Amino acid sequence: MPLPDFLRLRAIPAAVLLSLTAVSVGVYAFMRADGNSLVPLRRAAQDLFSTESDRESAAQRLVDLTIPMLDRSDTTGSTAKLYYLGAAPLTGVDPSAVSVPPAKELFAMETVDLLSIARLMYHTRRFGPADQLVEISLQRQDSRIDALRLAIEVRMDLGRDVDVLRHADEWIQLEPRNPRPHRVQAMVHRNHGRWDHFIISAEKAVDLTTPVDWVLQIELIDGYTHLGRSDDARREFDRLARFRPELVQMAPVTHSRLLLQEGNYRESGSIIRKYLSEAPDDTEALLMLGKLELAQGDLESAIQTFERAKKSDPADEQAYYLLGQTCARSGQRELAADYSNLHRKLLDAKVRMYGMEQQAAREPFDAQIRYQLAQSYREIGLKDLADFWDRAARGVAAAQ
Amino acid sequence: MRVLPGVQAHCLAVGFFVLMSAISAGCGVNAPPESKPKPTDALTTGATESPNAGNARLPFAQPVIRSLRSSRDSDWFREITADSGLNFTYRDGSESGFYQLLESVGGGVSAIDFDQDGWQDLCFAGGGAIHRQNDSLTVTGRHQALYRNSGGSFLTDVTALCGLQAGQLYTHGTLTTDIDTDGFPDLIIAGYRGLQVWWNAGDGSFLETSARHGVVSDRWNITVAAGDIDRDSLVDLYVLTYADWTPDLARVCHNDQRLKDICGPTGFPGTRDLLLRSDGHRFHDATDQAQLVAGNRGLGIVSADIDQNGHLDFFVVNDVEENQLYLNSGTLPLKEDGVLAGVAYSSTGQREGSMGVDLGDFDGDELADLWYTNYSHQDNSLLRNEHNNGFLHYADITGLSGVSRKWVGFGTGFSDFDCDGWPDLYVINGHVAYERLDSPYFQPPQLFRNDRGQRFTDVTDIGGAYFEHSRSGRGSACVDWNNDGAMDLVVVHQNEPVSLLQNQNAAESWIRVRLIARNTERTATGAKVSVRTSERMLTQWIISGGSYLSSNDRRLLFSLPDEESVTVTVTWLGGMSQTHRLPPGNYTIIEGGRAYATP
Repeated sequence: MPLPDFLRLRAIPAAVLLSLTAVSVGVYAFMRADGNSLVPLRRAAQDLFSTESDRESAAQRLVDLTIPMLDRSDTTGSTAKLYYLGAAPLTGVDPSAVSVPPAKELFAMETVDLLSIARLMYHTRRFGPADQLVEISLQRQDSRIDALRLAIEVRMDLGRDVDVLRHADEWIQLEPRNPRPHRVQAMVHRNHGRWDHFIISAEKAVDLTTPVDWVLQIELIDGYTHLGRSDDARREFDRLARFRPELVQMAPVTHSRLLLQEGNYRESGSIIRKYLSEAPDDTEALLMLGKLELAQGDLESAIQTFERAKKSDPADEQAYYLLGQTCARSGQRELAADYSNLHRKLLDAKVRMYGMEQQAAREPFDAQIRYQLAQSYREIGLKDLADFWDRAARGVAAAQ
Repeated sequence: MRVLPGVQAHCLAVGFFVLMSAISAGCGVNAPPESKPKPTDALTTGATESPNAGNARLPFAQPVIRSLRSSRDSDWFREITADSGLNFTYRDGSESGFYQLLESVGGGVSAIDFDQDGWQDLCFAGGGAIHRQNDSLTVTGRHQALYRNSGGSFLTDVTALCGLQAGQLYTHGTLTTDIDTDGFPDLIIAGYRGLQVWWNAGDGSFLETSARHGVVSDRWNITVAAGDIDRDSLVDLYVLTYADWTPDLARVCHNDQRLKDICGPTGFPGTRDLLLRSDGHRFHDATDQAQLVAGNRGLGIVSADIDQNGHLDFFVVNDVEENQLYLNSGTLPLKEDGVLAGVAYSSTGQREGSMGVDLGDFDGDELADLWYTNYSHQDNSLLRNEHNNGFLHYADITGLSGVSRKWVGFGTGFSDFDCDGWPDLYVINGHVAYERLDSPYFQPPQLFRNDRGQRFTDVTDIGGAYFEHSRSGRGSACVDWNNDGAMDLVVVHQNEPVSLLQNQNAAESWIRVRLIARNTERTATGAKVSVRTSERMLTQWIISGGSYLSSNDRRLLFSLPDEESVTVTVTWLGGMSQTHRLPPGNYTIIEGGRAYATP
């Protein structure tokens, strides 16, 4: 088996390792006597994840616990080294001070340790190594649900949504009454705008969640309105209004969209305008207000509103599309054609760049693909997005 | 005001919130890496390579669930296929197991009164087969079928008798038109790398005259729309084409189950449609003059005077591409205005996979609104005519969003099935891929009642037993086959017998109008008929194309409240109009002439 990517780290200068060990040895000499057990390391790693305030100290404690074990040549020593490498970035110690265990040692480690270390890697933005440790864990059957949960988390951030859905499916098989995997699937579908799938998963999650999770309920209503299922949305919205009226005030965009679909332009407009007075840059709300104004024939206001939406999110092709439509209706055909051309360019570019962004998500250390994305966005005039990917590329390049 | 997480469409924030609460409460050490909401997945059947994948089950190997429900008197439709003598099946060639895109398109039906006896006969495209020859594939055709209507009680297969058996073209769309304006309707059948013109000799026989008429195209022809684009009284033809595709054994695609399935269309560029102008004897290619777009994956077309300027326009819907609206000012080129008119994209500016199409006045404002059916996970699109200042998407606020997203819509149309004066909608569904997880191959049809132009209500459950049965539907046509004043439906399926659905609703009274034009082509495509009742104005258009690969009954049928007479106004292509005060019944109205009752 080839070495995992993260194991291709520099060899640790022996002197550095020795001096590091020497500094720590006095402090943790009492640990050495009990240095056969990985239990304290596991506990410390757990503490690290549950600590809200002093995470750095928790990480330091974990690193310190590993030090007495670093010179062991067995699986325990290898596991300790990986714990050290996992926690090192949170403490400021030099990770290159510890050698990376050989690949075959990884397969001898216990799943619980692989998952703990993978979690450390993941939360210190080392997505590739985290994914590799998760993959080893997934090849086993113990700690299955923990492995699936972490795999979902890691792979979600790597843009591997198909795998995330697959892991959630397995989790559902193992825990059919658990609403969480359904929530995961709902979220994946929502991110992709696959509202049909979102609804199916969200409805299952709602059914399995007791007591009622009203936030999830609002998301479901939002999904219904995205699909134009105004009858379903109204039924659930009225239920929400009956039991948790204060939450209605906190879902103005959903409420306004529902009213718009019901043909209640006046109330829909009133809610969305009030909301926009407090959140003037909300692109979705601006697009909805613009559509409302367009439907009512107020072309001038609609153009102004869509202009605001465009400014608030220059990458949203819908704003350009609607600007084109509205300008055409107001007789400004040349301007309409310009906006429509930009809309089409964005549409094409997004299809093209969707693939590139997926690649970027899969390759967290690939600066080149990020530079290419920056260049592509710059070519179509989306400076903000170009700057975003430039920053990301520079960040990745610097980390190397 | 604080807004709850998840309420906004900031997907990333919502996603992270839900994920963390779902699987890792309390361990959010870091922010997630950079990522942003992504565009919706492509619409293709998918091309995920999976070397060990199996094959999707072919249609004939899939279980078909038959409805056990018997017909009820309250049903809108009763299937009478067997009783009518109709027995025909379109074949798509899928049984050979080559998983070719060609198999997915399907076939259509034309209503045609070929013998001019006042009863609508039916012509069906036949489809074809795909064969392997060494390492390549060849495509062959099956002949079409013509059924003669005997007084609205029986249909007889007269294909051989009428000489329609010849022809080895793999076929899709059928068009009824009168290419030589002799009063006997002819047929044009479109297919893969060819067109057939079946000229009606008037003696009950047809002759294939595509070469003689110069109606030729070696593209993947889907269907044809006819009309007089230059008002010279001659029929011109718009040939809708699909994609630059050839059969290929080596091309393999996989669906969302990683099973080998039909390759989606996005891997094949669209081809340029054709505009053929008639000089009275032959047709000549006027595509360049018309400035049709360089390429499009066309699947649906409807022609009428959409902008009411007196000239025939075309609305073309495409598969995962922008739709086109060709506006005609009387001289070529046509002006393509789909994007600025608001008919090119979905309501959110996305490209759609569009198939069936129709035109009608759903809200009673006497303007031509547009309707087309789409791929799964997309809403079908209703476009309201904004007083000839573009179109606005109206599915959202008329109850038509979210009700069809599981299905892939094909044959469709406006028709007043419940005889209340408001055009209802039907949609024939069926997937193109054989075994996807998210949307099955066999799908149920749908029926939507128009509630006084404000909303559409799903009334599929009272449609009748046919509407409870999933099939892979394609072409369909509205035709009053028994002349009872209630519009019936004919539906073509993939590899399953066609269905004839008799409408069980009854109008209190009705008026039916057949038009004969003099100053434009004889069948009067593009003319508008308005019927003023005591309650309101009813408006319909004589169209060509419409639905999917099919031709509707060209007689316009208006259900009326119980009235002694109504005012009928015909606005012909060119703008001339004439008005008649007529009692309910069947009429033929001649341009510039009188309206006479017909049996």
